[in-house]
Amino acid sequence: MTQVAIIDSGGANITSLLSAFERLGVAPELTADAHQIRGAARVLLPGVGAARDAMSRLNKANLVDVIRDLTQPVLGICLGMQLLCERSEEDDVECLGIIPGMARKLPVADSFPVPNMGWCATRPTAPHPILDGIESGDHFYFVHSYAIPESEHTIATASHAEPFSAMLAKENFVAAQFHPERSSKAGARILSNFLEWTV
Amino acid sequence: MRIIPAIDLKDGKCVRLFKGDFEQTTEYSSDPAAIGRRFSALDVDDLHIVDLDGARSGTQQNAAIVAEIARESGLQVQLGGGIRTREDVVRWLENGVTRCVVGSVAINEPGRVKEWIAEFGGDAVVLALDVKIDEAGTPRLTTHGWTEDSGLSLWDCLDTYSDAGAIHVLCTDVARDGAMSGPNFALYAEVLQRYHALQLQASGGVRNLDDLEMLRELGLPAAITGRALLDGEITEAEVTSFRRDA
Repeated sequence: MTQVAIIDSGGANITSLLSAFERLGVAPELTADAHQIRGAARVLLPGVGAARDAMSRLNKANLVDVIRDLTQPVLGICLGMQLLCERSEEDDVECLGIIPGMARKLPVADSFPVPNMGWCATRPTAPHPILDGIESGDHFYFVHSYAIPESEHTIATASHAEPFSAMLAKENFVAAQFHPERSSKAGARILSNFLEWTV
Repeated sequence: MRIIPAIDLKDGKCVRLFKGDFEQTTEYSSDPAAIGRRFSALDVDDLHIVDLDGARSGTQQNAAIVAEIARESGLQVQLGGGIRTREDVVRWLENGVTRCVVGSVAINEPGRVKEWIAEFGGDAVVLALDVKIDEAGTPRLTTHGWTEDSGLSLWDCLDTYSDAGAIHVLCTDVARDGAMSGPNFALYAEVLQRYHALQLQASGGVRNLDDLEMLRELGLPAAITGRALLDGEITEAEVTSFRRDA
């Protein structure tokens, strides 16, 4: 059985993601094969680029319902987090609708450039196994122009001019707006928590 | 402010490291895994690598060692030296490099670099801009090491690159680099004031902890330190204390 399947949504540079798991002793498999994704112990939905392109690729690969029906632990990263939600303001595109919420453009404000690119202090707001060992004020690396506002599914927040969801969770789905694979030790902790997490 | 340690690669070996490493053993410097672990232990987030072989020959003979350093350390590696074509960029990104540092090509062929920013994203490119301050006080770009003056003002250059989506800029006043006379604080203050959205990296002239503290006061997102770390003027403990406290 595939231990960790990374959904190949195209476009994403996943070198750093693969290396991050290698450091944890896991070799994930990059795949767009529905059978392999369904059968994997854990699934990652990465994403870089625009929401519309990513959704149309998932549609073309017939993966939309496959992802919706997954019951094992699933982690969405960056754009992958936004894809797990209902809609994105970016091109006004319908997403997977697994976690309630809509990705909104970050507000433009002085000294808060968009895209938000860099380290942001992050604060857990609800207990969740994925946040084991993560403390309030730990920094994670963000690269994004859109974000999900805080909601009942928010388990960690960060702020860039305004607060937004740094992490979301619903049932077997968790999602991070930041890149754990590029977030030093705190990021490695999130990934190793994900590998330990049982639903 | 993030401290970004800098190392140089030459003949497949790391030739610029902390004080002490060369005294202990020279073997150490050729072991990329050990280098990776060492920087990882330093608790920094990024590593700046200058590929001296690439700068000289335009080839990527150090790709394997860079890939291993990146994989072992888990740090975000930015690498410069001899990057001239899209193929160079692709190969480095595939070898675990997070950001490609582009110098002369950014000035001589801005159209090409802007295409890379569009294709790979603003986070994949660092513009390395060497400047000299002219008599009127305007920073002007220099290329080809420190010899030729391109005449273009830093502001004109940054205007067009900001519009193209560039994010990371590494700026060096060549009069200060290696001279141990301190960074050009006024230059960095003006860049930050003019371009809020840039992730500016101070580079060149950092002597000691006081210089780093001054850069932090100015609001620099990051500072590269090479020689000061190498000479032991800045200690590992001091680096750690600066970690992401902005």
